[in-house]
Amino acid sequence: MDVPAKIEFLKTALASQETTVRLHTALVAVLFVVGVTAALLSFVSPGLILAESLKTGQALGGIVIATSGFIPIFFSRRDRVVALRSLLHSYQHQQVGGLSPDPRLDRYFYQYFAVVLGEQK
Amino acid sequence: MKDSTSLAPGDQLPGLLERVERREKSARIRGVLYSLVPVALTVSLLGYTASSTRKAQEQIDALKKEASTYTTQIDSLKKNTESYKTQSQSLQGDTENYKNQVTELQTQLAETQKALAEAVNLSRAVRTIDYANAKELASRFPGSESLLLDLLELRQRRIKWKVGGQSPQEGFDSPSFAMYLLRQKRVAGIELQPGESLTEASRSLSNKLPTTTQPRTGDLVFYPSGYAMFYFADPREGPFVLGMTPFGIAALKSDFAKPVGYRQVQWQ
Repeated sequence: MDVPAKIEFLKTALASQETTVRLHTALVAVLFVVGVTAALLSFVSPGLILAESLKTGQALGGIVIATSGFIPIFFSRRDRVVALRSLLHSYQHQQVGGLSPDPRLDRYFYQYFAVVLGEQK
Repeated sequence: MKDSTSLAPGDQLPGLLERVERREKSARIRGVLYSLVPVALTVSLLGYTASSTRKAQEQIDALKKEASTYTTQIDSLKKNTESYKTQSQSLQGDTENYKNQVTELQTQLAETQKALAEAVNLSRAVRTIDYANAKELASRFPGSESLLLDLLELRQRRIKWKVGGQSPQEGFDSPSFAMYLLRQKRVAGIELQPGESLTEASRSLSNKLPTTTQPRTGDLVFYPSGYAMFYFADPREGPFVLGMTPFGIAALKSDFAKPVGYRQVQWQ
């Protein structure tokens, strides 16, 4: 398997992982804004969203919504994105520098995906 | 068969890429679910709470409405109670009035019965005087002819009995008639005090004249029931008294009742 093919593969995989991370980040942002807005409105303008009698419930609900967006972040393992990017850079460096193929890189490559895809089970 | 978790250097990259894509897709879905489950739970709980609160509010409103109805009913009942109290007090007042009226009527009835009994007694003691023979009768009372003729003339005018009356037109009771006649004849000692009415003066008539135990014609005789009558000593048919009675000016036997006293009158 040649290096350019691996580089393309790594780029595609990295793009896919980054898309996942962006989605999670957007989710965090949206839920945080919605939750904090709901919580703040319960104090600033009670009765605007829910009835005034549910002011406390609205505040607590807003906090729960704001924090719930962070849950996927804890499971996203951004370190793996960094590792994949390092692997990609190493291959690119090898290609650009006209270096002879390093068998350790291939080993890392397969080890990485073995670990990542092994967790899918 | 190859294990999906094992990865060998010979694996084809498209297959690997497909697995990576599948994993990432799964991670995205899982991330969205992990985020949205608490949101959905929160929204559900808030919705349930809002629904419960609305139901509770509706129940409170219904209870308030019911309480308002009861309050209105209580107010109405209070007003009715006040009205009934007022009516009761009014009825009590009316009852008191009726009781007083009944008592008054009973008193009047007793007085009427008494007056009737007296009138019956008086009627038994009436002495008939024939006006045609008045002059012959007057001749029996030398010195008092004028008094007798005046009395008979007033009798002819049918002056009425009226308690507290003060004039011939109005009528008299017995003492006020005697007072009127004494004043007409200008008897000494019979004067009215300033502001004193004839009736008031007649109530103390017995105090204005000297007492005597041997009455003569023209003297005044006082009886227990308040009659004040002029005394005539008729030597032929016995003594009689003449004055105002409930059935007008009449002559009665002097012993129709036991006299209280005699008063001497100095006729001019």
